Amino acid sequence: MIDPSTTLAHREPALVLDAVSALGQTTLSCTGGAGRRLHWAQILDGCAQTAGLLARALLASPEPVAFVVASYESVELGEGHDAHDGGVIEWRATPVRRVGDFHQVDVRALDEGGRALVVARVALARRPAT
Amino acid sequence: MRPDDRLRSALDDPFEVVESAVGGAHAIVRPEALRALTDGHFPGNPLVPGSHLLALFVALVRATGHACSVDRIERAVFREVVRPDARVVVRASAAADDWRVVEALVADRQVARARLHTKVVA
Repeated sequence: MIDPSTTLAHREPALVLDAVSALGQTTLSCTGGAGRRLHWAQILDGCAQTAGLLARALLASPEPVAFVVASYESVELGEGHDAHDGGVIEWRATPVRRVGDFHQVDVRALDEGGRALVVARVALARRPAT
Repeated sequence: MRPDDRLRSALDDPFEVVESAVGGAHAIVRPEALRALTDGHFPGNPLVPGSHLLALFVALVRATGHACSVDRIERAVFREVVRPDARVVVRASAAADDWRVVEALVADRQVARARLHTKVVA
C-alpha cells in the first residue's frame, strides 16, 4: 500500500494524510486528521494530496512523479468545514479525465459522520521530480 | 506553538493592511504569516499551497463583507509559484450577483485568481 509520508514531499503541518485506506482500480481513499485541528485550507490541500496519490497510482510509472496544483475548477465548503477538531477525515478520490500531463480528479473530504466538509475538482499538472 | 496552530493563526489573521472601498478591497499579507503558510510545503523548496492562497481570498472577503461567508469557489487558477519572501497583495472586486473575483499579485503580476460565491450569514 502507498505510504503518503514517503510518497509525498509534504511534511507536517502541510502533510495531512496519515494512510491510504482503500485503493481500487480507479479510486483511492485516504484518512488523516486524527488528533489534529485542521483548518479547512489544510483539508482542501488534503484533497490535492489525495488526487496526487491517485494520479501516481494510475500512471503506475516506475519513475518518481511529482505534481503541482494547476487549478481548482470548483470547491464547495460544506457545513462544518471550519470546525474540524480531532476527528478522522476520509478523502475519496475519483478520476475525471486526463489530458497529456494534466489530471483532473474529484475529491470529497468527509467527516466521521459521512458529512462532506470539502468537495473539490482538482487539476494537477505533472512536473519534473525534485 | 504546535505546527497546526501556527498555521491556523497565519490563515486566520493573514493581513497587515486591509483597505476597502465601494465595489472592492485589497490587503497586504504579513510576511511572517506568508512564511508560516509554507511550513512543511516543502522542505528545501518552500511554496505557498494553492489552498492557502484561496484561504487568503476567503479571509479578505470575510474581512470586508458584512456578515457574509464563502460557500463555493470556482475557477481557481494558479499561474506562478509564490515563495515565502514574496510581498503578496490580495485584491477583491464585486462580480455579478453574490460573486467576488479575487486575485493575488506579486510585484504587480497576477499569480492566482478565483471566483468566490458569498452568502449572508445570520
